[in-house]
Amino acid sequence: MDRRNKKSQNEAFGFVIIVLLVVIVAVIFLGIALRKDNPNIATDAEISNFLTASSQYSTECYLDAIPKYRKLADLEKDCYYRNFEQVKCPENQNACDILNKTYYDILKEFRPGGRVLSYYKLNFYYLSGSQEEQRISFGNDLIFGNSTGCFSKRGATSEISGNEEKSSIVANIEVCEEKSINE
Amino acid sequence: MDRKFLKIRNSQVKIQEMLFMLIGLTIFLAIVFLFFLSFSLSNIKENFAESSRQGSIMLASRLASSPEFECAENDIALCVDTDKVIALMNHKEYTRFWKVKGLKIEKIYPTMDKILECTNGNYPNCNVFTIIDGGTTNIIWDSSYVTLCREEYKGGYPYSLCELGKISIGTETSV
Repeated sequence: MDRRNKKSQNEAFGFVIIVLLVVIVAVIFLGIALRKDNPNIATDAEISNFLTASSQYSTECYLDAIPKYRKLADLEKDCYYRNFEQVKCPENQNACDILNKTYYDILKEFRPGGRVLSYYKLNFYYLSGSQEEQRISFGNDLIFGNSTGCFSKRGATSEISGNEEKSSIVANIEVCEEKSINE
Repeated sequence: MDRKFLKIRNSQVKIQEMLFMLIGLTIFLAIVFLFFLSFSLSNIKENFAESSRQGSIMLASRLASSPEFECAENDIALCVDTDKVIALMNHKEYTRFWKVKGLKIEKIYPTMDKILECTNGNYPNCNVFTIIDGGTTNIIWDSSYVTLCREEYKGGYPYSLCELGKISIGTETSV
């Protein structure tokens, strides 16, 4: 009787080991799969080029007199330094309003890799060049859609130098593309 | 004698049990390995496609920085001078110069209601510059966003007007 019990115990022990092995393998796979669902934001050349190219877009705002038109990169600076007196914009709007409105319109036409965007977030911040790095957000964040369920989040930043030494004005964008039918 | 025979038979059954267990375990591990392999291979394929897309984007942006397209203001990156482009379109002998099957530049923003091919007659009120028409067969188009600048005048003063565009290059597929 005792021998039979010992044999059963041994078999149960073997079964437990196998179950444990299966569970470990399942956990590893689950970990890999979950990591893919929440990807880190990958820097993308196309998005980076988009930010660089769009920052040179000529707006209707001008400095002092026509035709000293301001580019979007200039408006980023004007918005942060609140340079509203010298920079004149149409319909009594200021540099920040035109910056947001123009990017809002441009982003409607932005299709990285020919795909429509399901989500984007564009924000601007000032980065001080001092030893204690300071980050000050300015302007309104432009957000469209929802990032949950995003299968590949990409992003890029573009930097222009600020008025103070080593400081910079940064535009940062995160996008999510709509999943195409054949994927 | 019978006992000895029973003992041997018992051991054989035990060995058989272990053998079945080992075979089962091996099959299970093989399935897991195959699953993992297919998962990794699909990742490698995705990475390869992504890196070749990034490479094509870099190629398109390098083309935008060539002296034939580049803006006069050197400090602007990814800037195409459309005045140069329209002049270049009149010189078809240049089409062999870039060693690509297709080359076109599109205006993205401000948008226009319809696609208007640029000619000397309608420039700058147009939105597509076709420098090399790739045709329709076996061509893959890759593109990069660029700034499209041209010289304009207001009140007798010249200024550079810049818009958002895209430079696309067409390469032949191996198929």
